[in-house]
Amino acid sequence: MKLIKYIWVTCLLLSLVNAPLYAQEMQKKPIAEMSKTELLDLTYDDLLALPFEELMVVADKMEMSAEELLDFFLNKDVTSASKRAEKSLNSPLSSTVLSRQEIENSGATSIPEVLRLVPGVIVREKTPGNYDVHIRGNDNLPPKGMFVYSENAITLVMIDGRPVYNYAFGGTFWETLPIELNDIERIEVIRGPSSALYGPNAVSGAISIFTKKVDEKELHVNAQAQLGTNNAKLANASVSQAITNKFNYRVSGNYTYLERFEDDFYVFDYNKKFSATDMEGLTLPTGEVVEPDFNQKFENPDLATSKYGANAFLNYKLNKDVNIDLSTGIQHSEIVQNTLGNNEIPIIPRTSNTASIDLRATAYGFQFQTNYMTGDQDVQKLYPGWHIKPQVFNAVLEYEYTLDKLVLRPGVSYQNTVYDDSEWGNAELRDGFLNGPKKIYSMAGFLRADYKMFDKLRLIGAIRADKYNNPDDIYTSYQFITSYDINKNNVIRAVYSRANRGPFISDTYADYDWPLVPGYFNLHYEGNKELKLPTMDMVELGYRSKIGKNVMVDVEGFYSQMDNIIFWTPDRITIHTDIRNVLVNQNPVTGVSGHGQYQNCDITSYQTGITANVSVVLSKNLNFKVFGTYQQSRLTDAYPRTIWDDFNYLQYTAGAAAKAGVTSDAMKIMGGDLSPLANPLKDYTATIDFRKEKTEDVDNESTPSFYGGASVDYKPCEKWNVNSSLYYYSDQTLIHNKIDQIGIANVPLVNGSYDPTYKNNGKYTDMYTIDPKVIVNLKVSYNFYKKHVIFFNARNLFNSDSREMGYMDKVNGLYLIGLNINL
Amino acid sequence: MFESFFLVILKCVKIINQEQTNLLLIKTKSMKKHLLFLGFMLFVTHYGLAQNEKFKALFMYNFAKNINWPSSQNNGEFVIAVVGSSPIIDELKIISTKQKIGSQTIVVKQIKSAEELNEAKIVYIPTSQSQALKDVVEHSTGKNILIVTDKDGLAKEGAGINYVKDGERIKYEINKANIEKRGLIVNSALVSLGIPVNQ
Repeated sequence: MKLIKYIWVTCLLLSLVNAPLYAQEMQKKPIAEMSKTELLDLTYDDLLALPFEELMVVADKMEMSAEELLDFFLNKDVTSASKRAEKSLNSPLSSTVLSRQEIENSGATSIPEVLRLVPGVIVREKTPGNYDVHIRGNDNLPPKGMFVYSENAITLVMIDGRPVYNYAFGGTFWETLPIELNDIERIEVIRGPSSALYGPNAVSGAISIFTKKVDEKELHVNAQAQLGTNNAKLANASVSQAITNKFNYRVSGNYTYLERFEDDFYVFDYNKKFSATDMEGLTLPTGEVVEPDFNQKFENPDLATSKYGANAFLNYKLNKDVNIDLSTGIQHSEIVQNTLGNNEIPIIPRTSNTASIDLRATAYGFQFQTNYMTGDQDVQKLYPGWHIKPQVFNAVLEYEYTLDKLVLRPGVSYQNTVYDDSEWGNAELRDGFLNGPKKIYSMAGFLRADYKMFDKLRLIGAIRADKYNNPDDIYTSYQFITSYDINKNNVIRAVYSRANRGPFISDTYADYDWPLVPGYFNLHYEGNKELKLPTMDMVELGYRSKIGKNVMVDVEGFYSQMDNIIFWTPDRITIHTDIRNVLVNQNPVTGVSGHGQYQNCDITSYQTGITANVSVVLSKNLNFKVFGTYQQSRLTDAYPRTIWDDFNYLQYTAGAAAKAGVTSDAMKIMGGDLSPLANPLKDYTATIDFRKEKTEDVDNESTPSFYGGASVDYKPCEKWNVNSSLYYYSDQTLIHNKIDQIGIANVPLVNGSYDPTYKNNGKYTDMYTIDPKVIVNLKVSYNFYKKHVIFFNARNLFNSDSREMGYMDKVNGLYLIGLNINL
Repeated sequence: MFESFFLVILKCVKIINQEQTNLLLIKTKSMKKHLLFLGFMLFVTHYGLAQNEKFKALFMYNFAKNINWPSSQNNGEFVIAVVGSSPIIDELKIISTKQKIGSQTIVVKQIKSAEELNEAKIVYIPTSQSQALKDVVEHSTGKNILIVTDKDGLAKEGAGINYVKDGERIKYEINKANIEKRGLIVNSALVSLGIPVNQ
C-alpha cells in the first residue's frame, strides 16, 4: 500500500512541475508533431498564418481517409486473438473490439454493461450495477444446483493481461475491478476456448481490457459526473501526461453508487417478500431465525452497488526495443447480489477491499509480466465463515521469434493463489469455509506457431500444458487454426480448440459446516483434490467480408462440447440417537450430520450456434451495427433430481433405519433383554451414490436460444453526438434446487411421514422463467464549450422492469444527466 | 444472417407489444420523443459540415495566394462569389476580416446565377449548385476567374479546382489548363499539393 502511495504522489508532483514547461514547448512545436487535441486548439489566425503545405497537413490530421475510416470503425486492430496487432478482418479467431470512442459514446455505466455491444455475449443485470456475463451460454451447469452455478466461471477477464479471475469460487467479481470505463482504451472479446493462449479459465472465451495509453505532452485532466434517478451517482476523474518522450503517467479514480429498485427481500420458505424491518429476526417455519442481526448486516437495504477505485499507471520507454509498464490499483466495493448456495434468501451483501500491482516489460522480443493482488473479501456478508483474504501471484515470460513467414512464441508461466479465512474465523472450531490458508499453484509451458503460406493460407497451432498441485495432473489445451484469404476483402477461417477451467479453492479445499439447524443438524461441505477439470472442445467455422468501403460482415458457426462439470452433491446422512431419551419420554435423536463432496458429474453440455454481425459506416458521423446469436444448448446425462431430493432420500432411509433400530432397542429394553446403559448411543447412516442414479437428456433452457443487439452512433455536427443501442435476449429458465421448509422441516423427524417415491423424481426442482427482454439505451451529448460535454444518458429507456436473473432484483430504467470536463 | 436480423426486429416489436399495457403511457411519450428527435436531427444536420467548410475556405484563401492574376486586376476588391447559399460564406467572411490578398480586401458575395459574376476573381460552386457550372464556364470565358467546384468529375468539366473527399479528408483536384485558359498563372506548389487532372 505504501508503494501505491509513493507512486501517486510522484505522479501528481511531476504533473505540477511539468505544466508550465509544456506551455513553452507548445509554441515551438512543429505541426507534424502535434496531436489532434493540440491541432484542435489552433485558432483561425494560427491556421491562416500557416503555409499551405502545413495547412493541408492539419486538415489531413483532423480527418480520416476512406481507408482509415474503415479501419477505425470496422476493421479495428485486434491483439488478443494472436497476441500480435492485426486487422479484425484477418483475426484468426472470433473476436470483437470495442474502441474507447464506442465505449464513451455508448453511455454504458460499467464494464460488464458495455459488453452488451459485443456479439455472442449474454449480459444479465442481477441487481442495479451487478452483472453476470456469459460468452455463448453454458449457463447454470449443472442445473438444479446452487446459485453459484448460474454465474459464469468459464471466461477469463484480464486487465492489460493480468487475470482478474476469482480463484476461490470461480468467475469474475466485476465490482472488484479497480478500473472503470474511463480507464479503458479498448476491450477485445474472444469467443471460444482460448486456454492455449491465455491459460486456464479461458474456456468459453476471454475478455481482454486494455487501459489508456498516454502520448500527449500536455497535462490532461478529465472529470465526469453523472446524477440520475433512483439516487444514482457516478463519477470518475483522471490526470495524465507524457512528461518526456520516454516517461508518462496516468492517475485515475472512480465512484459508483446505485440503489435497488425495491427495498424488500424474498424468502424462499414463505414464497413472499418481507421488508427489511420484518427481516430482523424473521423466524422460518422450521423455527430457524434467518439472521438475528439482519439490519446490522444489511446496513442499507436500498443499496445495490457502492464502490470506488483508484489507479496509477506509469510507462517508461527506454528505447524502441525496451518498454516498461507499472500499474497499481485499489478498490472498495459493497454490493448486493446472489448467494453462492441455497440459502433462505436469494440476495446477499458482498464486500471487497483489494489492492493490486502489475509490472510488464518488453525487451528485444521478450515479454515479461508479473502481478500480485491481495485484500479481503466477505463473499456472503450475512453469514459467518465467508470472509477471506485472497493472494494471487502471476508471472509470465514469453519470447517472440520470427523466421521469415514463421512466427514462434514460446513461453512459461507460474501462478500461485492462496485464499485464507483464518483471520476472521477459528480454524480449530472449523467455523470458516476453508479454515486456514489454502493454496493452488500451477506451472505452465506453451508454444504458439503462426505460419503464412503462399500469402493467403495461414496456419496457426498453439499448445499449452499446465501442471497443477491439485489435481496433481497435467492439462493440455490447444488451438489449431486455419485461415484463408479468398481475396483482400474476404477471409474464411476454421478453428479446433480445447480449453480447460482451472481448479477452484472451494471445489478443492472446502471444509465447511453449514449449521442447517444450529447445534442439531450440520451439513458438511468437503472439497476434492482429485477432481477432473472441466474441459471444452470446439469446432468453429467463420467468414469475414468487407463489402465495399462501408460494410463489414462477420459470421461464425460453432459446435462445442463440455465435460467434467463439477458440482457439490450430498452423499450421506447420519442420525445420532441416544436410547436413554426414550426412557424419559424424549426424542431419541440427538443430532443429524450431513455430508457432501465436490464431484465431477456425468453431464455433457453441447452447444451449436451461429453468430452474425453486420457493421456499417456511412461516414465518420454515422455508423451502426446489428448482431445476434442463435444457438441450441443440449445436456446429456443430466440428473433429474436435486440436492434436496437427495436429502429427502437420505433422511428417509436413515430416519427409517433409526426408527427401526430405536424401536427394536426400546422393545428389548422393555423386555429386559438389553440394558439401556449397554450401548445407548447409536448412529444410523444412509448413503447415496449419484453415479448409480438415472440420468436424462434435456435442453439447457438456462441459455437463451437467441440474444443480440444493435447500435447506432450519429454525430449530426461537431457539437452533438447521439448514440442509441438495443440489447435483446429470448426467454430462459433458471432451473434451481428448490429450497423451502419441506426440506429442512423433515430432517430432524424420525417419526415423520416420508414419501419414498421422492428419489429421482426431481420434486424439489424450482423453475424460474425469465421473460424475453429488450433494453434500449440512449445517450445524447452536447459539446457546449471547448472540450466540455454535457449529456443525457438513459439506460433502459423504456423502463422495462423485468428481472434478468431468477429471484434477483427488478432492473428499471435509469435516467442520468452528466457533465464531462476536459482540461 | 438477415433472418437473424429480422428475427431481432420482430422479437423486439413483439416484446414491446407484450408490454403495452403498462408501457402504453411511456410508449406514447416515447413516440413524441422520437418525432422530436427526428426534427432535431434534420435541424442540426444543416450545420453538420461546418468543420469541412472551414478548411475549404482556408484552402480557398491559399488558392488565392498561390495564383497570380494579371497585374491589371490587382486593384480594388478581391471578390469571391459563391453561387447559392453555403456555409462556406460565413467562413470566408471570417477570413475576409482577418486577411487581404496582396493589398486587396476580400469581399464575399452570394450570387444567384452566372450573370452576376461581374468582377469576381474566384467563383465557388457548392455541390448543390453544380448544375450551374456550365453557365459559369460560359459567362467566365475571357475573364480572369478561378472556378472552384465541389463535385466529383467537375475538374474535367471546366473547373480549375475541384474539391474531392478521401473518406473525411478534403483534397483538391487541379486542372492547370482550365486555370491558365483564363489568364491566370498557377504556382507549381499548388499543382503539386493537389491531384492533377487533365482534360
